[in-house]
Amino acid sequence: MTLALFFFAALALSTFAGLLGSMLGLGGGIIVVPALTLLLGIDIRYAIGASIVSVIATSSGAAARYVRESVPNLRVAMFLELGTTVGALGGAFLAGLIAPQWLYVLFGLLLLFSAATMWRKSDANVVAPSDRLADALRLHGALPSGYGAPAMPYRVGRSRFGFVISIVAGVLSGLLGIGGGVLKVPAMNLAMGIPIKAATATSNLMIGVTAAASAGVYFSRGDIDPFIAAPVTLGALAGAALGAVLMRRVAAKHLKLAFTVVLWIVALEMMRKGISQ
Amino acid sequence: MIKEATTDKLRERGSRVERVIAGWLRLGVFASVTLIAIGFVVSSIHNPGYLTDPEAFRRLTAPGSFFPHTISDLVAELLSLRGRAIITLGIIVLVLTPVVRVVLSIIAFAADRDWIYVAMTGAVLVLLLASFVVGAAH
Repeated sequence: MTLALFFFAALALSTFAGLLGSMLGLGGGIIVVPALTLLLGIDIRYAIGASIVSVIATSSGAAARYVRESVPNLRVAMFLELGTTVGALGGAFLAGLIAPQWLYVLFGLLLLFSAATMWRKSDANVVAPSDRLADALRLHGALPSGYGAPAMPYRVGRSRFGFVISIVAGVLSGLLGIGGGVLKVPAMNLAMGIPIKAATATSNLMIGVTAAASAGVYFSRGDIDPFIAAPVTLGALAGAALGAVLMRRVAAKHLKLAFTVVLWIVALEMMRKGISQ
Repeated sequence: MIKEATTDKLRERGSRVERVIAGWLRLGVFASVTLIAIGFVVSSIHNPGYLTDPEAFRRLTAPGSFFPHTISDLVAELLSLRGRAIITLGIIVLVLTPVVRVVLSIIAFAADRDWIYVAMTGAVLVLLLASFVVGAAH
């Protein structure tokens, strides 16, 4: 392997990760880490370091366009970010107190449940019950026209449940280093009544903040090798920019289906990790 | 059932915040891409063997390879225009984009006199900085 070859291989793989991640509201670490370690022979520490940067790239690269076009719900993002950061800080303190294998199994079961629910409700737009906290915080929003023509106003409900899930997502990312998108997108879509595209774009905006909180640590530990991170970052940024453009064209139903498939894969992977440890 | 007026108001209130945030994100991403690309080109020019020599690739990417990971090392290497330091600066700019996004949101919510959200977003920022400190101490 040479640096030139690595550059193009890593660029291509992370473009794919950025594309998928930016449309589904996920970090893409599930693609980047195995691609770097298994396919390109990179050390796991450097792979994780590069993956953290690629999560931020996936977030900021797509969010620039999403936010300009009002796709994410900024208020919901701020509200849930509070839960995630509280959870992540709590998770950092809990690390070492809880055996991770049970968490993996628990997390896997939670994801299987989300995947099954998403599968069942793949066609329907969930209408959430009225929620006074959501009214007070003015969480309601509208998906702009062009993303599900015509413009689709929606009312947010079950905001307390969403907040609890975002705390859980934060704890898990603090404990296991897993991004919370796989939990937050189903919670926003299925429980809170946010259309799938607004939910994934809101999650996309949020994952950057969570990843930035840990990126400083990886940098000071010396886990972010510039020659590995450079192509991964550029690829993820390009993929995310492309994903944000494609978001207009993809049918909401197909996006939900793709998300469900990814949920199944992550769920089984988590169960496998939990059982094999 | 959503009242038209409510939606319009939300739209209008959100738009300035959204423009500010989107503009910042674009600027941050653009600066980051430029720095990373320049850094990569600079180090390939300084070290002609980097791109094609398998041994150089191993040295640059194997555990224990040296690259700046403290601010003082980074500044020193930037002053001597090392490519790897320019790449790292580009990465740091990218890492800061979501953090600055949170700061800008606080300012934008304050300009809208939306104090609940100023408090909420302010708390997120404090917690972010706290988790950075906790993580660094680990």
